[in-house]
Amino acid sequence: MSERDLKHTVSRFFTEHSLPAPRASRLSALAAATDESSRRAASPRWAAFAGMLAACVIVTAFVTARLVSPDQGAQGTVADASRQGTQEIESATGENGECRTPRLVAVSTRADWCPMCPRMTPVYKKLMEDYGERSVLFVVFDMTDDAAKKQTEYLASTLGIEWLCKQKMPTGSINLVDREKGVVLASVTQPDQMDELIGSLDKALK
Amino acid sequence: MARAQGELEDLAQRGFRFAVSLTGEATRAEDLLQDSWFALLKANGPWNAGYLFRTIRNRFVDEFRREARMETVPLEAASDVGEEIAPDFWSGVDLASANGEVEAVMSRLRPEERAVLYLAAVEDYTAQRIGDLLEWPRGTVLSMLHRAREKLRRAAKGDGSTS
Repeated sequence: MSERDLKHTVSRFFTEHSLPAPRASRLSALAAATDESSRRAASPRWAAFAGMLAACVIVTAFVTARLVSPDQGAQGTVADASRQGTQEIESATGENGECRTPRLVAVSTRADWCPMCPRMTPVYKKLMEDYGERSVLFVVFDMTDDAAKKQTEYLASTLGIEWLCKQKMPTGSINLVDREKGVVLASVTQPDQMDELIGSLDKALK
Repeated sequence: MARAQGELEDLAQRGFRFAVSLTGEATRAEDLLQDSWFALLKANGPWNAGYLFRTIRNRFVDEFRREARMETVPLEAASDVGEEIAPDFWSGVDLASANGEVEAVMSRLRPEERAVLYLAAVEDYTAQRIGDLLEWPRGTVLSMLHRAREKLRRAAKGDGSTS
């Protein structure tokens, strides 16, 4: 292909035009931020779907085990495996088979644009480490944008604390919620206020 | 999966060049690209060349319609131009004595002629793919390409007329 052939000339005509670097950089940064936030917004949807799928599998396993082996131990490996699975499931559920979601929920509210959030993140992680094995559910409410807020509403609704979304919860706060009573036991927005929340948590766990 | 910023910068450059092929000048191409880019931001993507080119093309057509500057040309059948862009399509024009005249003619081509040249020469799109993008029959794309090549061939011979 010669230097002066048509394709080369046409290509050179177009490629000698280029978008000024600062403008290209600004546009791509905007797109990258949107792409990232849509990916993050999609994640909870997948998590919710995976959760529902897991719940269906557990219920199916539970029902199958009951049908194959109603009261006494049934013969055969399938029935044994099912019964064993049922025992595990029962240990994670209440007497009537309902899920034992803890009464207490520690809700951390965050947003990408929140300047306070990075200060509260290590405090929340420490709380989770200290109380992770106790009967407390730790959840994060993401308030970055409308999509994240919608997912937060779905999550709150699933936990039966949708009323919490209607309250004015500042981002970068940690809230201790009693699901059964429908009240916020403690709410802190500064790392040095954590003693107050931990006190309320210890009291509620007694 | 989130795209790397470098990938998106490359996409912006490709979009800009396609916009240049339509508008024929850089300033309007920048505005056209920015409008299209924001439309994609609003729609949350998808961030791929096909979607960006289509958005740019639609915005360009809308803009021309608003300004009532759209020149309509009857679509031509491509009875004499074969089924696909021939391998020797690009080598059939001798530009040895063009002396810069080709570049001048490029800027005087019709927007759609420049657009098909850009997509075929730079993006290596097939006539079918160009037709899908610009919403024209493949035959029209081929005839447009041949017409553009004919104008460039005449320019190379020293006849700069684009009519």
